[in-house]
Amino acid sequence: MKISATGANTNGLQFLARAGFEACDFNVGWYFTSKASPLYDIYNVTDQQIVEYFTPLRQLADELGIEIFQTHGLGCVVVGDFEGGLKEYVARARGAYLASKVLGAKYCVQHPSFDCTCPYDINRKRSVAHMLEAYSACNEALEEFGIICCIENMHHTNLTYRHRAATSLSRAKDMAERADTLGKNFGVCLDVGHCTVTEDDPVEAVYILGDRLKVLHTHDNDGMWDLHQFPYVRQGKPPSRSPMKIDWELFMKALADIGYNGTLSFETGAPGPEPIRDAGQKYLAAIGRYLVSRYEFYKGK
Amino acid sequence: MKISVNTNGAPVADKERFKYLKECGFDACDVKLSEYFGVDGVFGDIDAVTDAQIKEYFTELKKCAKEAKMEIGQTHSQFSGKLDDYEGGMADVIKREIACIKATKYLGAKYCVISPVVMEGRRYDLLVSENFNAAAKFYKELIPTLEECKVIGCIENMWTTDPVSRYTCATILSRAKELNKMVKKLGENYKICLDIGHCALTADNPVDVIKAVKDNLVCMHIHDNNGWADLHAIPYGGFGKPVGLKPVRIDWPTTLEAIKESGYKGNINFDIVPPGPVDIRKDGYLYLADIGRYFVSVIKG
Repeated sequence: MKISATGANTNGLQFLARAGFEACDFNVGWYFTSKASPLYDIYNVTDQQIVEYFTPLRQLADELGIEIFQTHGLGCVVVGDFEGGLKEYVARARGAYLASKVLGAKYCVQHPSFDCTCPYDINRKRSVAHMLEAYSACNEALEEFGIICCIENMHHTNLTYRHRAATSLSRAKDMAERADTLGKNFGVCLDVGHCTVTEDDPVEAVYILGDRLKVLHTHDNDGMWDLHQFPYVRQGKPPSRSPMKIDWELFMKALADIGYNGTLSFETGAPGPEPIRDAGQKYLAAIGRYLVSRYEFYKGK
Repeated sequence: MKISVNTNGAPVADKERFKYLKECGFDACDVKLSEYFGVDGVFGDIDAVTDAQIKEYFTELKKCAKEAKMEIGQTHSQFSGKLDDYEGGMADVIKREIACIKATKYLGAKYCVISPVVMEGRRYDLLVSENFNAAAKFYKELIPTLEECKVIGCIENMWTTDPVSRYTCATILSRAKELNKMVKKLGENYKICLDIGHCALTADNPVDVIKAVKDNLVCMHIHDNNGWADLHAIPYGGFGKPVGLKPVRIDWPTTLEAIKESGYKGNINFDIVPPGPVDIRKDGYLYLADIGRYFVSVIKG
C-alpha cells in the first residue's frame, strides 16, 4: 500500500516527492470547473489540448517516482451550477476523465450532484434520483476512457443550526446501493473524515463497502467540523460533547480484512506558513508509513 | 531564546529523555514533576521523602541533561489546582510543592510553574476575591522555600469547565489583570508563565494577554487547541474556523508578533506530547522542533 496525498500541479508533485510520498491524488476537477483554468472553456477545448496539458505533468510524476493513483474530478458542483445543465456537467466530467487517463489514474472521485437542501432524509427520493441521473449520464465518457468514477460520502451544513448533518449519500449502506445501481463503471471513495461529522463509523463503513471501496480520502477532525487534519490530531474529547473519534488502528485492520488494495491517500496537507510546510508534510508521510505498517501487520495475520 | 519542550512525552527512561529530545532538535526542556511528587509518583509518599533523596535524584538528572547539552529552563510542579485530589488537603499539597521547588533547584532550573488553588465554583466572576485570597495564601507559604532555593515561582493562567453548559470558561488567574495583580501581591519571588492554549479556552486573546503581562512574563506553555478542549496540540493543527460556533482560535502570526514586541527573553517552550502511537512520537517531535525554530526566527526577526 502506497502513501499518497493531494496535489494539483508541478509544485504539488515536487512537494510530495520531497516529503517521501509515493503516490498522488491529483486534482483535475479544478481545471474543468474554475474560470481561472486554461481548460475551463470546455466546448472549445479539444481532447488534444487536454492530452498536451497533462502529459508533462504525468512525465514529471514518473520522474519523481510518484504514481497518480486517483484524481479529484468534479467536486462541490451540481448540474444546476452550469448554464448548459446536464450536458455541460457531463462535458466537464469527461474532461476530468480524460485528464485522469493521461495522468495514469484509474479512479476519478466525483462528488454527487444533489440538491443541497436534502440533509438527513428530507427530500431523499428526489435527491437520490437527481444524483443517479447525473452519475449515469457520465457512463459513456467513463467507458470511453476506462475510468472508474468513485462516489463519495458527503456531509451537509444544516442551515438552521449551522452544524454538520448527514445527506442521502453519507451512509455506507446507501453508498453500496448507489454503486451497485450505477454499475461497473462506478466504485466508492470513503472519506474517512466525513464519516465522523455525519456520525458514521468509518470502520463499519469499510466492512459494509467491501470490494466496492476503491480509494480513500483520509483525514481527521474533531468530530464536529470537516477540518481535514492529520490523523491523531484530536487527543482529547471536548468537554461539552461526545462526538465521534476515528480509531485508526481498527480502521487499518478493517482495510486489511476486506483486502483493500488502493493507496492510503491523505486529503490533508501540512498547515501553517511556507517555511514549515515541508516539515509538516514529512510528518504526515511518517504518519502514513506507520498506518501502512499496521495494515501490513493485519494483512499478514 | 531556546527551543524547549516538556520531557514527559519522550518514550524512554527519565534519564534518557534529554538525549532523546536533543536528537529531535530541542535545546531546552521543561521537567514535569508530577511523575515524581504526585500522589502516585516515584516520591509519592511525601512524608517519607528526605531532602537528601531529592538532592541525589535530581542532581543526577541534571547531570544527564548537562551531558546531553540540554538546558532545563523550567519545571512544572505537580499540583493541578484541585485540593480534592489530596487526602491530606492543603498541608499535603504544600509539602509536595516544597519538594518540587527543591527539585527545581537541584535540576538547575530558574523557574517552577505552580498552579493556583482553584476553588469549587470559581468561574467567570464568581468567588473572585475568595479564591484570589486563598491562592495568594497558598503561594505565600512557598516563599521561604523559593528564596532558600533561589527559584522563581511562576503563576499560570487557568481554565475550568462550566458545570451547566460543559464549556470551558475563565477561572482564577485566567485574566491578565488578575495575573498582574497576583504577582504584585506576592512580590519578587513570583513571575508569570503564560499558557497560550489556555487563553483560547477562556476566550482570551493571547495577543492582548501578552501585551498586558509582558513585564512579568518569563516563561510559557505553548500549544494549540480548537477553542473547546485543552488538547495540547501542535501549533497550526488545522483548527479552521467552525461553522456557526465561534470559539477563540489562536492566531499564530499575531501571537508571535506580540511575543516579539513584548521583548520576551525566555524560551519557546511547548507543553506538548506529539499525538498518536509511540512509533511516530519522534517524527512529531522533529516536526515540533522545526516549528520552534520557525517561531524563534520570527520572534528574533
